[in-house]
Amino acid sequence: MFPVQTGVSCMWTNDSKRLLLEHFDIIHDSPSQLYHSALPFCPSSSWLHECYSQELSQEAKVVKGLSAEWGMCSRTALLNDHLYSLSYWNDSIAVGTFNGDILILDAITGSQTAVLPGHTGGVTSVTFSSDGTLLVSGSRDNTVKLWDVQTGGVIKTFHDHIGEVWSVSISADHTTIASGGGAVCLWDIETGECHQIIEQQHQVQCVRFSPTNPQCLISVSGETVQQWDIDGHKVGPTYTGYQITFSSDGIQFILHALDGVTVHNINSRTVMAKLDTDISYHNYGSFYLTPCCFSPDHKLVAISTSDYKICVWDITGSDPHPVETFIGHNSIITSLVFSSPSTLITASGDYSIKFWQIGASSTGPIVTDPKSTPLTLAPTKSTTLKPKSGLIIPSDLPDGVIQTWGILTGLHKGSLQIPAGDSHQSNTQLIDNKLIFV
Amino acid sequence: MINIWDAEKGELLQTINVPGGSVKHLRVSGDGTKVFCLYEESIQVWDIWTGEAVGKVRAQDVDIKSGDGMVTCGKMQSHRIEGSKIWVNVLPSSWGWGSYRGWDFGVPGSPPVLFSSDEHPPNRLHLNDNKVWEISNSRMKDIVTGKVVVQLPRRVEEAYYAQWDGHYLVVLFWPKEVVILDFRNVFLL
Repeated sequence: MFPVQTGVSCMWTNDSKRLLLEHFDIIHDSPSQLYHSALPFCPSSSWLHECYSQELSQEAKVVKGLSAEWGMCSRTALLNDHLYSLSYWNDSIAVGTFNGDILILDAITGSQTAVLPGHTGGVTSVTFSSDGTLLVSGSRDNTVKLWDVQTGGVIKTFHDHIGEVWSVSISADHTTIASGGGAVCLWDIETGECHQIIEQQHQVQCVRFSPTNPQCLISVSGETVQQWDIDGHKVGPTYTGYQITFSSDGIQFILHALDGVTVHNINSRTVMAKLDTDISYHNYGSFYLTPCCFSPDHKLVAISTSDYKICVWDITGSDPHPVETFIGHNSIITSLVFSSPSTLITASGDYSIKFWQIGASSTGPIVTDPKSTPLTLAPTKSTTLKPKSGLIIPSDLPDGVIQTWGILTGLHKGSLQIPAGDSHQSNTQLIDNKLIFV
Repeated sequence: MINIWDAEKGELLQTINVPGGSVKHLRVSGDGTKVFCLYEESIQVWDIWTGEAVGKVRAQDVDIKSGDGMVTCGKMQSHRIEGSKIWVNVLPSSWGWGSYRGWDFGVPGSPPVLFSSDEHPPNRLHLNDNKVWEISNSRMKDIVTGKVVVQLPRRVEEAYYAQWDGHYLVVLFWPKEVVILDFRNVFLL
């Protein structure tokens, strides 16, 4: 979505996209905030910062904490609810929420374009059909619903599912829906009947139809991963894992197990790549939550971890290796999907959807003082502001010395020698021209 | 001890003798007259200029509901400070969940007044009479107009402390990021 381009017009375009997306909500609510809250925060290395920093002399100036470069996360959309699942198609994202609504979001801006109410329990799984005209949802209210994406109306509700629904999938020919929960259920879309129930020993946390072969279904129950045909007959070997995801060409699938992640060829039944991960996973009640996905070109694999990170692996060569680590959510990542080869979308229990840019530079605070270490703060300690003279005092200090920095320039101003015996201060603060420390 | 310095001259102006122990937080009240010192076992407040003790709350004097009964507080953790008020996360001496207490050390002629019990601290800090900092939204709003003065870009963690003196806004983000904004050239605030 944000190809790296050169030239002034391209830099202007890239910067403008990033600026508008990052500050979309506040600019949308109040356009004048473009000047108050958006442009002043353009990264110091950006072309926009270079062009507009002088023009913004009447606006607030960021004297500390300005990022050097655009971050990996280009957009965060807050949605006021725990998010279970998401699916992407063309220019839309469908999000299943804890309260039972399905939200339709614009895939570029993340802004909400529609709400599909109807489920009475959390929507644990949503998936678009391959042509984007249908949406299937599964819920903890023990039902599966088929939606008309164009009208937002319910086409059919599939009742009497065995237990809560934790995963849904629609076959490539749009004739069958698979749902997973207490068992694997196969539903005839035309008649609305469940024509096949595949009993399982454990809760079924994942069902996936091949995106190209309507006869190929894979389910995950407990640690058992099994391939089925459309009549519910076992096909092929049994694998061990907690999550599987097909590539868009239906040739490969990711098998996510506690001891690692492997990429398999479903036809040759061979392991094409083994990702040497050391990841722990979030225990989501009776199963492990291990969302993962392929990029549209099948070159990248994104894997979420229990510490709220996302690792993106390049699996093209003989030596698969991680290329990105995205850090930004502060709760479990419940679902993720690529919307383009360079954009990953993630949903989280922190009520947010984030858009990540593959290949974007990492962010970091500017070191404004070349002569000293950057100003950092310990969370339990204090830093405050001197109202007029423009000095700030850090709290992480070498023994016996208090350093002062200019608030406007960020430059080192001087040092105060602490009297002998007082060198183990743990807190400093400046107020009304006076410095105090303990 | 707490030392008060003239930062520009490097002169020591005031020394306040405080009890030993590990100070978890040190903060100055919004009006610049008091120093809050939070230990695990107590909160103590001093007048910044006279060095006299303003008040003290001991953990052992704080009762917390635990199961069917009440237990004393074993540990105090600062959560939020606004003006002369402090919200503290109080943890029971035995196993159990903590809760919040709020004391106001700014009531003239009075010991610390417990004004909040078992309520989560508000999601906003009053920066002065007409500006608030909305913690979870990372933005400063004008109370009178209701308008956003500035919205900071979203971070991983929320800002846990902000201070505003009419010219500068200092915002601290967990775990150790600081953002400082200079508003001196902004005409209308």
